[in-house]
Amino acid sequence: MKLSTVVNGFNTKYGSTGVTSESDGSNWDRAVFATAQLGWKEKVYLDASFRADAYRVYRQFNNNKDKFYGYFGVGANVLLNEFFKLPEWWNYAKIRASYSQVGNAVPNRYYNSATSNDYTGAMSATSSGLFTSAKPETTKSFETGLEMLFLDNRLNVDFTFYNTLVTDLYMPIGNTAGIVVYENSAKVRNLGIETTIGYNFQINRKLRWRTALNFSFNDNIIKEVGYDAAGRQKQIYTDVAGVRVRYFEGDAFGDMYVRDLKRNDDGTIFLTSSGNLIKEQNYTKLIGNMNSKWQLGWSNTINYKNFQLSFLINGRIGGKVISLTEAMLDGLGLSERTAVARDEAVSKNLYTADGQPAMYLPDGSGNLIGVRNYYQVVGARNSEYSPLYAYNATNFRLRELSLAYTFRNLFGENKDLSLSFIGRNLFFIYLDAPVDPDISLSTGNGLGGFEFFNTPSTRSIGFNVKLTY
Amino acid sequence: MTMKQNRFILPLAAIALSLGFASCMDYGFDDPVSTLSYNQVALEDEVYHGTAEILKYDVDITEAGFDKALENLQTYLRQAKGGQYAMRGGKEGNYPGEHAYQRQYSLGPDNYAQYTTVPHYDFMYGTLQSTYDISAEFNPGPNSMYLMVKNAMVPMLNHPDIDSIPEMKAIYLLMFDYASQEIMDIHGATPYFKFLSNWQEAPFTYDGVETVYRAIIQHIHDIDRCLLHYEARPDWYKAKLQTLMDENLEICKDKYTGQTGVKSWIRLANSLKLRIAIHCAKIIPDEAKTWAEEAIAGGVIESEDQEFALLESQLGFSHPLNMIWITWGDARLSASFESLLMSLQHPYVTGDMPLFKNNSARMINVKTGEALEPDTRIVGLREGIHPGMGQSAASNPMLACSVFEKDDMFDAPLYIMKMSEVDFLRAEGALRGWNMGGTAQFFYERGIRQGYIYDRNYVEAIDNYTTMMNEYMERTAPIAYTYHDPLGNVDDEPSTTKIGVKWDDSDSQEMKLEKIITQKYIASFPYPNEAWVDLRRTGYPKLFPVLNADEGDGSLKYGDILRRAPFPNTDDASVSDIQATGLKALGGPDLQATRLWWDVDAPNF
Repeated sequence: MKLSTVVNGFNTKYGSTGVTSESDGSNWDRAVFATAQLGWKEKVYLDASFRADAYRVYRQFNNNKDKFYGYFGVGANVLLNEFFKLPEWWNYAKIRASYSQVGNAVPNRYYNSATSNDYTGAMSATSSGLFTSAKPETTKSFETGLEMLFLDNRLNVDFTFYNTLVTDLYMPIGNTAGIVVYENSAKVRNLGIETTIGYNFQINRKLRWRTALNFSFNDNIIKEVGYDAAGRQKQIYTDVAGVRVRYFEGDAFGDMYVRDLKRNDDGTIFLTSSGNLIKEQNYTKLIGNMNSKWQLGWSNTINYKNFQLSFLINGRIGGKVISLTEAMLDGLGLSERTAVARDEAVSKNLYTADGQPAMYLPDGSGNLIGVRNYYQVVGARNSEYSPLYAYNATNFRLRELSLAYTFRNLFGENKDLSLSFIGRNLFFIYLDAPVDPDISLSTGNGLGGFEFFNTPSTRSIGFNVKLTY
Repeated sequence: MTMKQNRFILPLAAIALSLGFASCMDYGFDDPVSTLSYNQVALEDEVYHGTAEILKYDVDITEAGFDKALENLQTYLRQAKGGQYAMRGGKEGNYPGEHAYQRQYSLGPDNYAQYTTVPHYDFMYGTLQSTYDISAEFNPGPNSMYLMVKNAMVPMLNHPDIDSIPEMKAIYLLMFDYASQEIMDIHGATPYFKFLSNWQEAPFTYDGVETVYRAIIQHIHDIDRCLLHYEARPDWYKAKLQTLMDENLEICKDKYTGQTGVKSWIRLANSLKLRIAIHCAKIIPDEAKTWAEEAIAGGVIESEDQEFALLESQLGFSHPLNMIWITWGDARLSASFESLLMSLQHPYVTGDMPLFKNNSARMINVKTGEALEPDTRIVGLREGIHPGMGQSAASNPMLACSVFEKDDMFDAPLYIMKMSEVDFLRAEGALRGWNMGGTAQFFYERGIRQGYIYDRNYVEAIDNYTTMMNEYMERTAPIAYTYHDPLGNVDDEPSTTKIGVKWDDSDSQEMKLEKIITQKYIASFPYPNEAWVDLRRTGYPKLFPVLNADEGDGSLKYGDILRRAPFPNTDDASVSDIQATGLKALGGPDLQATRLWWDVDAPNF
């Protein structure tokens, strides 16, 4: 028997597998930064900045070792009402525009390494290609906005348009060779608007109502992902629980594809001789995009004498949320859906040839499948048949409601006491999914649209006492 | 607008540019390489695409050139050492271990060969509903390990410095070819040439079995010549090479037996050539004969000392199947193997030291309520059955089925080329009328006698086996045996084994072949790859039909066996490559029923 190749080695890792470990970390950026601001007659303001960054991670690459990457930004604000005579009902107008660049380094680690095994002295195989295109990701944004006040400042309108282009996006790409190739090549554009319109109703001295509606729209498009030597688009994706989120040129971030159930030539679902479902190998079925393009919010505050009532309704339109909780409960036969299916099998006397409680396949074929067989496949952990668990993420909810009363000058001049009841996340006005679509597994790319035994969002009801003096 | 009216506010910052930039920036700015963890090693910043196939063995090499090459190749050599472990389930430079071995063999080929059946369907990372319910997510193991071998060896094969040590280049090329032959026989196509040239980015052009086999045969020709040239090397070269080989080559027994030189590797090359020739016996019989006879003339493995294997007893690990079967409960003896061994009364299931143990727990028939008490008899599990849930006999009665004796498997060598395999290959060759340097009977009988699973130093087990051989090898007919499932899940199945063991020159060719392949099958256990090749190629040994055969992709039906494992690639780049060139190289659709190039649906003779 051979002895370990490392003698008298000390490392916290040797304590016990997975119990202790150690790692060494270091990071730094160096930058030079210059900024200038220019104002003219309090009517026009100009900003300009420049920075140059060098990042630690690039020191390992020969082609851009110690290189400084430069970014600049310019911005302008113009008060239009100082230039033009506005009509009586138009009180204020400011236009703003800016362009900026921001850099983002690739993850700070060493890319081309292998692991040595203490016991054998051998090393792991090479698993990543040379990172030849390493450079920072660059976000270039253009934003323009208009702020306006009308009718004695009662009506305010704020409008923003933005166009953001992220270039040289960092991507790890796997391939047939078992080699992950890192690249900085993709290009993604986000384009959108954000608008707020508010009005302040002064109905009489005692009654006031401020209301504001805001909505935003974001459109996301993948402009470029790079090409391989055969001129084909590079294939980039993230896999989550039976769903492949693909990044294709011309598509939006967050398109979800799944493996379909194997079907017969007439489109009905294929059943094996023992009455089981089979899944196709490849991810060909598009089931939608996880992101919502539209977000809406409506806030209101009503003051009557010393009472104040306010509420906020908000929500989003579009997008999908996938509930892996539902799938897993189905797979284990613990959901209400599976119980109903079993009860129905008994009451309608539906059984498979081998005596299992059965249900009709949801393909109009009239074929029976064992309830257990069906749900064990569609709810199979890690290869869930997700179309069944993909829900419309559109939802609106009463986000906040509060009622307050203020006892003015209770303890003397300007010494007030105010009492308020506040409820947050009170109820849904509209909801399609069995879960709160705004809860997500993670903020990582491609993980936003999933729910897996997440802690439910909570409703909170509170009481506030506030003393002012 | 005049200048006077303008009021500039100009707070300018950062004028540091000219102020000794370098000096103030140096402090504390480390390199990424400084925080590598204690066992991480930086690799060379260069990907070579050289001449992996060309063995320039007759160029002059200076001692200084040799030393320089050796220095430059240190990291590559250590990776290639890990690659040898990866041939049999060792990952990250470690010896074969249960996780990788399970994915490489136990969840797949072990069951396709019908040695074992997986007794539960639920796994942490997916499910296996029945034997042929193969999915790319759950069964990529053999290919993943092949890629590991490739990524450990191919960078060095393309390195210019390896040309200063041509014998080592020949040996690593042989190991890469060996691993390539194995993967070709599982999936039917792989981007062999792109891999060999160290190509790292898509697209990858796929090559089919015939192309790869022919390339390997050509390589073996060159490898033989290169290794034969070793004799002409100066003494300093031989001494240095010997040290290098002893330090880096793990699958060869030479360093334990004290053998020197490169002869063993010539024998491995020729044994592999013989294996490939036998695979091709039906599709290209004439060429196969030539290859096989060349291999014998060049010298194949003839003794236990010459075998190739990863030896647990020498390296210091235990066979991964111990953990997989016994600790994890993830594999059990298959009913097919049980029936075969029982019909022939093989020492693995009879006598004082059987390899397989009796049922571990009480088993109750779900239909009749009849109970089989613990430790009553050897019980296998039908291949393809829908397994239970859970990994203990208390919750999943299928776990009570037979496992092997731990002491026997503990040191069971992980063979790369077992002497008995070569003997059975020669027996089949002789049966086909090829000049194999002996009779079919001779190799058949020696193959059986030397075919045991035990470590070659496990004297007690070997003595028992040898003693029992006398009776075993005289068996002219099987005993009547019927498989009975004590759990009542499947019907009784009479044994499909209709042959005896004793060689009889008056037997038909077909029966002789059945005998050879049946004994080869037993001797190969637990290495499943060749057993599954033979099953597809010859139809032997006769085993039970696999249940639920249509649960993979629907292309097989009851009575069919798996002809290949579908491509295990799920990443989009590979799927495109497969569509573009993979299917053509395979010569059929990516289905379980698609036959490989050598798998012709024709009589054996």
